[in-house]
Amino acid sequence: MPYEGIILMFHLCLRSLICCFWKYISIFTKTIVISFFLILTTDPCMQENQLIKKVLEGDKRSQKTFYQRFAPKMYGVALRFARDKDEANDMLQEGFVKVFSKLQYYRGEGSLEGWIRRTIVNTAINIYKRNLKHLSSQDLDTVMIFEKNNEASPIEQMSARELLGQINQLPVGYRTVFNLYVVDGYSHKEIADLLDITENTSKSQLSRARAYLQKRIQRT
Amino acid sequence: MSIDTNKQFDQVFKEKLQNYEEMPPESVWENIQDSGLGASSKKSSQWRWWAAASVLALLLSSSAYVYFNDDLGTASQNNNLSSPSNSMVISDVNSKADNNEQTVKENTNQQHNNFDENENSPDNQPLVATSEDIDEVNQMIFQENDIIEDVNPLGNNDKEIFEEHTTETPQTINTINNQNINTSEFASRDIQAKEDDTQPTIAGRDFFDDDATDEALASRRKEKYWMLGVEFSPQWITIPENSNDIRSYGLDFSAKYYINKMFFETGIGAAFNQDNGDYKVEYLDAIFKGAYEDVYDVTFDEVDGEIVPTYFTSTVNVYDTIEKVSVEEVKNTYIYLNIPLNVGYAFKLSERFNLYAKTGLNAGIKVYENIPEPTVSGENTTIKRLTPLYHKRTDWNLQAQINVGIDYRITPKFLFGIEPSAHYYIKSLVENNEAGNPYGYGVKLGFKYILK
Repeated sequence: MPYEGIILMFHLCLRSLICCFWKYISIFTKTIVISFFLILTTDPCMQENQLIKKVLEGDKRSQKTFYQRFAPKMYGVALRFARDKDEANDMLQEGFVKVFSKLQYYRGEGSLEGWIRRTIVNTAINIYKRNLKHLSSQDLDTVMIFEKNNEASPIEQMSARELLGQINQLPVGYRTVFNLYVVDGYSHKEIADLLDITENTSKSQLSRARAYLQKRIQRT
Repeated sequence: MSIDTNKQFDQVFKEKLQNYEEMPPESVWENIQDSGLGASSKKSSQWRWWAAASVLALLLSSSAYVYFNDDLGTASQNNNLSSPSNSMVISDVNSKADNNEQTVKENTNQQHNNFDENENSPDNQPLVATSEDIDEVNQMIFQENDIIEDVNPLGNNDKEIFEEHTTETPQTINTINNQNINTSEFASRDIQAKEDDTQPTIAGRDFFDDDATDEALASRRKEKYWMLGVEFSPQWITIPENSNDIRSYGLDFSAKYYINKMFFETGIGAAFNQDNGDYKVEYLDAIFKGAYEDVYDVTFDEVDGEIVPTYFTSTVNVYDTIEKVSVEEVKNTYIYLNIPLNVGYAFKLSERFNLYAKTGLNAGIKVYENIPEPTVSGENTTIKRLTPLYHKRTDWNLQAQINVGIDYRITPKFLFGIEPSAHYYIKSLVENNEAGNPYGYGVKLGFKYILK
């Protein structure tokens, strides 16, 4: 039964108690009854927990609520790692199927959103690895030139959607390392472990990704 | 801002993209649903909640019915009172009451209008009372005489008015022992109340009206007594995100204080808990591959002019060490000290059976725990790391409970009771139960003794 139903029943119970017996009971008992009532109705962690619980129970409506709550942010993550929207859609779908199937193992260590984000990122990495054999490496000029410029850089004038478009143009290896390091805050060591590459490769790919982006942005 | 360094360059991307949101197309959700969403969902436990809610609704409605329906209480009370040895019948006491008296009666009825006039009014049916009731009535009359004397400063003339009024209000009381109760004081009290335009007090009210009679009976049956009990209380507790249910076995000593049908309960109890505690065990398993002789010393001796070496060896076993991971199960045991605080309501089903419902809180304090470490099979295993997968218990918990029970009266003072219960842990008994607090179902079986 939904939690709200239980709360409602307790309300009814307490109201009946109060109505029927209020004049008979002592102040101490009144205090206990009121405290009981307040504790039940003011649990701050209950909302997210209840949503998880309902999702685990297979409640379709709660599953959709859960999806709608987190999907926009996770789609933003998927769009960064994917080369286009179709791939991002597949990535999000695969990621959320994983989230729903593994939700019972979520132990509450860290935020739920962080846990889902990690799952989506791991899905992106798996897709990257799966597709790796079909990809050919692309060499780029590693020279990066950042000239001093007192005017606002075009990069700052670009919207998030435009930056995303630039990232999407990166070769998949560069894009993955760039996203993991720059946006998601992974270290080179963590990236090396995740992608089965060396730390130096990770650094090199990051450097090349920056150069690639800088050149493209300067051209715009 | 100019981009001077890689850090600044990265920062722009991070700021703009880290929390970037975009609504995915609807087809994604449809595909997720089509991919068998919820196949791994845990079993639904909704029926339990509906069952608990139904029991609660039944309890509330039956309690409300019994509480508000005076017919039932009065009827049963009258049955109890009407033993032939000590009862008397007061009949038709108010059928010819005058207008003044009616006015006062209406006022009092507005205060306590919770009965069916057609059935309970002494206008329509005889009132059955015990000698104790009559004693109380006499006591009220006695008090009333005092009050009338106190509040009546008008002297003899007013006394005459009262007497005249009395003669206009023929009220007779027929009792088995021909005991007559003079109601003139009541009539005069009513007139005085009307003259003063005030509500009559309890002592000054006409005791023959329904409410006064009801109160007289109620005060007589206002019983206060203790009931002590000792009960065995198994309970099954479910942690929503964990399939390992907890079984609890308790022994409780309870004390109920009854005020009429309502009671307050407290007590003390001990509960023995046991559940499965899973461990992730990472260990090294050494598999024997063979042995060789290791030469640790060589000496040379001259025998018949030849140098002969002597080898000192030891056998060295060779193992292939493999890292393994397994999940091992142990039985964790806990003992809790329980202190309940409940309020409830009881009513009589028959001479032998009482039905009651109660609700309240129960605090559980962990006083003992035994969590054994797991072992792994194999002769040459070495445990490297243990990671507990079970929910650790909190030091104390608080559960809200709703109980409904039936007592069977073996003797007038000795009872046997069965009491099913539903529990919800407001403060959980386990840590990190993000999927929701545990809940449980139990039953109490035990004996009770009434102290009067």
